[in-house]
Amino acid sequence: MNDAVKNGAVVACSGLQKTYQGPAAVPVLLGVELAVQPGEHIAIMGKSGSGKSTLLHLLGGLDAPTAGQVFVQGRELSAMDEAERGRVRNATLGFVYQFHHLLPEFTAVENVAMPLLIRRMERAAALRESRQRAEGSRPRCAARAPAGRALRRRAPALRVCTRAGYRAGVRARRRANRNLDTHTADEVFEAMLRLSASHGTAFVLVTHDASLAARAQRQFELREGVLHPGPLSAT
Amino acid sequence: MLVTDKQADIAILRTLGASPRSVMQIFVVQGALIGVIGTLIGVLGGVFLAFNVDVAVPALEQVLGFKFLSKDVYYISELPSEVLPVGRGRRSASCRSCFRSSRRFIRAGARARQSGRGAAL
Repeated sequence: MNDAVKNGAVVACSGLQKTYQGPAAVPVLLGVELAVQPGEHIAIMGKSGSGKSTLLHLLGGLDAPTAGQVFVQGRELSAMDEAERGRVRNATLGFVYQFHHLLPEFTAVENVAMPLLIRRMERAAALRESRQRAEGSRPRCAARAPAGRALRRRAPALRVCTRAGYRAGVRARRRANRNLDTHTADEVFEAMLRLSASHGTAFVLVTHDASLAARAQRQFELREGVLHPGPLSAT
Repeated sequence: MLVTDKQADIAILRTLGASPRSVMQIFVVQGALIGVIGTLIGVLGGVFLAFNVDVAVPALEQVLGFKFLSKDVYYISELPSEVLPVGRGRRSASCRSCFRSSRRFIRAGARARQSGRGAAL
């Protein structure tokens, strides 16, 4: 693993295991090895319940592994405290959700600015920067409209521009297409490609859609708790 | 209840890098604001009602169609109402005195109970 970290992987994990404790322990991940290079797009497929979401949560530091390590830009997540992990998420990681998640109390631009506001950037500056980002993206967010129903369909695309402020990092993209029509899913994917080209952003794409996965540079299948590289079997 | 309603929003904020502490602060501030505003509305409304009980009660009786205290039974021609500051001395419905009185209420239950008729008819 240290090799992968030395080789400049933006996100890497080694021997990653996760077992959910409960009345009966449920082992989900049994030793996942993964290294994602800057600007790389990888797709992870797998049956429902195979642990794809668990893997994304662990890579994003939202959950703690039972064993193994996760590295983000060479730094080990489990060695950090919660506040530090928050800073890493804020500055280097982005999540594009499966469902249209925007904070409904805020306008579209405020939603885009949210990561900047969380890192305590001055409000006017954060909104100015976000407005510029949003202008360049397809949604052309109605700057003052509350992020209500009308914007929901666009939410994943908007969320991509939310993260546009980051120079590097990895995007954990969740099965966006499942909840989107094909056209919007394509838009989201195109936005990701643009970001990847301009900022060297890497993407980890978790999807059930084989044709979308085929557009990534590398494909994996999560099966029986282990990542299997290569051509996809039927899911 | 607020917190359970906002689970998805909390998840968003956490993925965007907000610390658990700052997420908690949001709810603490919101809870405190609701408390303060509720107290203010309650105190102002209560005092207003107490000062205008001679108008409010007949109006309510009119709407509901019956007498709370029938003259035939109680021989009372009007409802007595007085606003008393809880504790000694000054009359004030300000937030400060409300805080002070609630502190007194906790300290000396008996005395507060006695003067609690301030809000009663």
